[in-house]
Amino acid sequence: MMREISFAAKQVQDSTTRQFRFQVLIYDVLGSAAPTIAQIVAGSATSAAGFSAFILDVTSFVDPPVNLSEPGDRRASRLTFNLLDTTRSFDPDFGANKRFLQLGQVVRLREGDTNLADADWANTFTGHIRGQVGFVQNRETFEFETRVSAYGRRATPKFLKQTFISRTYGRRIDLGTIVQEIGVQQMMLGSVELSRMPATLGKVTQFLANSIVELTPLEAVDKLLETVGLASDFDGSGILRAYSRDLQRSADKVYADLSLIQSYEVSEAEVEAYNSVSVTGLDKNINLIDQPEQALARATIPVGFWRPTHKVNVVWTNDRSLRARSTNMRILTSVNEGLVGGGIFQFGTESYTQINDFEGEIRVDISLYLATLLTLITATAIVWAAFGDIVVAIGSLTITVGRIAQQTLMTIVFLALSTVSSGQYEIYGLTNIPVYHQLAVVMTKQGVPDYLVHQKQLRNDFLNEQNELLDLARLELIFEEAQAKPRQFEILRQFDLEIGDIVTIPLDAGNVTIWIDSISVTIDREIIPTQRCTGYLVPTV
Amino acid sequence: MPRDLIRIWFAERVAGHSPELDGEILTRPTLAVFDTGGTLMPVATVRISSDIISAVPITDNSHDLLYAQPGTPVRLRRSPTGRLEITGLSKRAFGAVMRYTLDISTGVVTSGATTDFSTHQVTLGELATATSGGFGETPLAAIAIVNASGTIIGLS
Repeated sequence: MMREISFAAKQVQDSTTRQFRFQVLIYDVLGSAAPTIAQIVAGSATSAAGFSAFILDVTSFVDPPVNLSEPGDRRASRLTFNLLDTTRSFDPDFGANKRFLQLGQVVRLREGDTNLADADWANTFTGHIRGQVGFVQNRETFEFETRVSAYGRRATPKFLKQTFISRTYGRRIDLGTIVQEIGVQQMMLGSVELSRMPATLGKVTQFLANSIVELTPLEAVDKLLETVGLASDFDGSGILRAYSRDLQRSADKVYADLSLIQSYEVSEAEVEAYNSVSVTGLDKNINLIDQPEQALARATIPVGFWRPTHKVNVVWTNDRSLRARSTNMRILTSVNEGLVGGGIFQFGTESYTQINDFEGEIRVDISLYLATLLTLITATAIVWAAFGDIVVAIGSLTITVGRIAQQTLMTIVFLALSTVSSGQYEIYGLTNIPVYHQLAVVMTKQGVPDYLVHQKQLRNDFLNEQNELLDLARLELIFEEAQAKPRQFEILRQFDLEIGDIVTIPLDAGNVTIWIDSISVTIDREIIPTQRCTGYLVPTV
Repeated sequence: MPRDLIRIWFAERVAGHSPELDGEILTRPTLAVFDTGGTLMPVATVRISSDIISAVPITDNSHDLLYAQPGTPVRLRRSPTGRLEITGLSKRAFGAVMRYTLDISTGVVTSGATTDFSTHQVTLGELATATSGGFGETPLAAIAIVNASGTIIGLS
């Protein structure tokens, strides 16, 4: 969790004998052929790489103190310092270096020691100049003083304020993948800038279509990280990282003695801490809710000898938006009613099948009728051919015997051929609407009476199972419980401590474990700076 | 179905509250008699999270809603004065709210009461026991609102 620093830097920060040094660099990222912040973060925007014209080392002009504060709780860090010169070089209007003082230029604070190689120094702040730098010309002292404020990358308006709509993600996409994509597409971060963000969070999307709508990139990233108890932050090098809000993990650093620690304080604070956490998610199973039975479709089907099977596809709505189950057909008028059906032939069979939730098929089958008809025609032909030409005299008229039989059969054949019928059908069913069910878990500290409950409410649609809600509620409740016990300590400047780290301090009365929430440091020349860490006492669970 | 008088509820508009929210119909919408003039107006009992509000009016022109079955998720609109009315169907329904307590010193999680509501038509057995008056007091085909432990907490 902690910032990676070299072994040499670790040795320096563990020592009380140091020759502390700092460096303030300003990068021009706005000029033509200027380095990008991604190059600065990746360490490739160096003089050796041909960017010397875009890098300004202002360390020698810095009039201490340099103030660095990292307020934590998803807020941007802030760096302020003064530049003092006897020339106008830092005048934002007329100075030779005025382009370095424009809004958006990158300021970097590096900290180290005379005994440390340049590569072992730690980047403790990387951010952008915000607003107008201040400038004072003093005719009495012949000094020109420039006041610079820079904010960490979290304050970048594009990251913090501009909402976006993500692409649609399918099922079983790891949330870490989405975080990485937001980083690349919405925050224009490079691979180095995302190197401290886990590539996978071990939790996947559950719905067929998932998108993030109208959240800012940082809100979206934090919402995704929240599902596994993480929060986002930009580190001192300008790299997007994730830190854990889980207070039950082991300490990141255990101090063996109090040699580096200058003070420890249980600060008097008015805190209204939460003692209950409610987490609401969305059940991954979609439920169908039935509505009263209603008529969904109606069809009229004309049938006749021209086709053995008459099929009609019926939909509940033309746009196939209405879904229904337990559908059944009611025959309003059967094809068998009428001349033929009531007489010699049963005309056909009528059936219905539901194809899917949105449509069904009505089928009228008259193939038996047609087969009978064909048999009749064949029989007629046979009769015609078979009967001999025996003349029977009826008075003065003669008639062939075959013709009598033939005409009898032909009458039936013509009758069958001329018969058409039609049926009228109605489909009834239970329409149902698919709905997402909410899942909710409320975790309350034991022993809190109802009238003292103070509830924090979290809502995250990326949580889709009850045990996920339970885990998060437990983690958040322990975190909130700790908030009731703010603690502070002052320690000689530590290059590797970051927000979200857990440290154990050995007090005379016993160890205390503190989750660091904010860090501030005032840097002077030739003095080992003391950093003030504010945090919360980790409950021993 | 008993025809209740519309209850007047008072609500203050709370800044920051979203103008729309999701609810769930617990009783089949009924026509209720308005206090003055005997005007009929469709209303329903609605669950909003773990609260139940009765006699929530249904907006005109919402023909489908009049036939909504108990358990159907609905969308509610909050008027500038804080009154709620049902405007349409919703895609989001409530589920159970499961409660737990956490002992910070031991880390032990204990499960507590679950808040949930469901509805069904009163059974023959319930007709006698749902209200103290015995048979005859609860009309046949009334809808019972039941909490997570199976106790009837309301009839409509």
